[in-house]
Amino acid sequence: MKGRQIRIAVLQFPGTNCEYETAAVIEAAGMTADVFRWNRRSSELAGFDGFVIPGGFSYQDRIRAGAVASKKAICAVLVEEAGKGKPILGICNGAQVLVETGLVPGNESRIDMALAHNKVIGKSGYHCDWAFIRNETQEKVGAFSRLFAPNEVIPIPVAHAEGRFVTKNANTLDTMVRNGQIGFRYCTSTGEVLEVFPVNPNGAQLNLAGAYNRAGNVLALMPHPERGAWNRQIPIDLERKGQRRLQGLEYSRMQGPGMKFFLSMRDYILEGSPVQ
Amino acid sequence: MKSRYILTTLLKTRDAIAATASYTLRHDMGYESVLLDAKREDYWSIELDYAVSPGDSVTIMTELAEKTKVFVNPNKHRYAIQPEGTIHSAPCPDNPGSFSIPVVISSFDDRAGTTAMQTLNDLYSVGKNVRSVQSGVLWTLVLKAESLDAARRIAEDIAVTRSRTEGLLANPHYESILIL
Repeated sequence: MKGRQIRIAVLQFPGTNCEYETAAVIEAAGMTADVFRWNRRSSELAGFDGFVIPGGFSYQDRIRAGAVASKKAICAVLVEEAGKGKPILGICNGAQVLVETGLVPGNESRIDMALAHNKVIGKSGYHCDWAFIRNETQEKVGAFSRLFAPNEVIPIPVAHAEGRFVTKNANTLDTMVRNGQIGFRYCTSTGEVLEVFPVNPNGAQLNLAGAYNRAGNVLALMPHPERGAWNRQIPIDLERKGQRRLQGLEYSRMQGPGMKFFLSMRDYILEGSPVQ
Repeated sequence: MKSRYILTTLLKTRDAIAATASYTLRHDMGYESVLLDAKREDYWSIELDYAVSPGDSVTIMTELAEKTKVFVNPNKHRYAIQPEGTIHSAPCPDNPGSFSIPVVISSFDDRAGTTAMQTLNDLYSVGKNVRSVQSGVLWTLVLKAESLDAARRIAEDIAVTRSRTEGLLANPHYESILIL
């Protein structure tokens, strides 16, 4: 892998709307991003080293978010590429597509979960705000978590109406916990996992914000790391405001916590890592 | 005696969601020769108070549809009121070998039904006649099949999303599916 550019396909369905900022962050992380339209020959996908399905409203969320996109031929190829260990990140609507594809949690091709409508007391519909998530993976496990310390708390934006990870099978979550598939959970700024709004912005089971497939190379992540990839994107009223004010312009130009998802992806590809 | 009525609302304009579902089923999921039509309506199952006489029920349901603005927007919807139990699978009389299969999909949470009930209670006097409201989406699938039972099985396969290649209309992890 060393010596050649890492090529990442950023999948674009009708209604996707975060493809260009996602591509910019991928480029900033030292990889090449190619916005790949859904109606290109899907076999071309095999030439890429990794994939990102960005946020938006694929097919206008018709029927339910991610459902229509998951049926397209391009997703059949993604399933094959995932099987080869290539990293796939689904952000927000991309996460919905991955869950509807069955890649996450990925047990025997079944759809084992849903990203249902947000459900919090006294509030319904679309929710857009900053939240905190905690890395739940162990060191160097998970293609997108490798640069996060265990239990590291990450400020990150959420923007969705259907972001509640749910499953009706009681065993599914237990199995995911046992397999280390719980990638990220919503928490307070100090890392406490509380099942209350706004800490858990959508009522997700287990406060789940990001879930891996069993092999750890596919991550369905509801928050938007590309919107927190530089410190300047992080609002001053969050925990890091002190640092930002003290350290001024230089600090604000530095890469933010969201960038680590993409740098982890790069490292994972460079290492040719079969997932641990 | 309690009585339950079904209020359905259909878009006056072309329904883009139904068109997308139909296209996806026919072109991406292999139902091209089986699925003849897919129609989508909002589905409201409304339980009236036991004190309401059958004669008054239709008047109350009409008032709910036309005066409350909770269920019907006259600018974009046509509506129909039917007693519960009168919508069911049946052969299509004009098209031998095809069957019309109604499928109701509801969210386990049913926030829309709860909100509608609350709005009726809070804002409309006619709401005192309503004991409960349940919401959902009514899909009417017109399917080519060997028998009514076979058509109902196909409808279930289309409705229940089991894997990437099986099912589209509902995710069983947060939605219920009822084939009428």
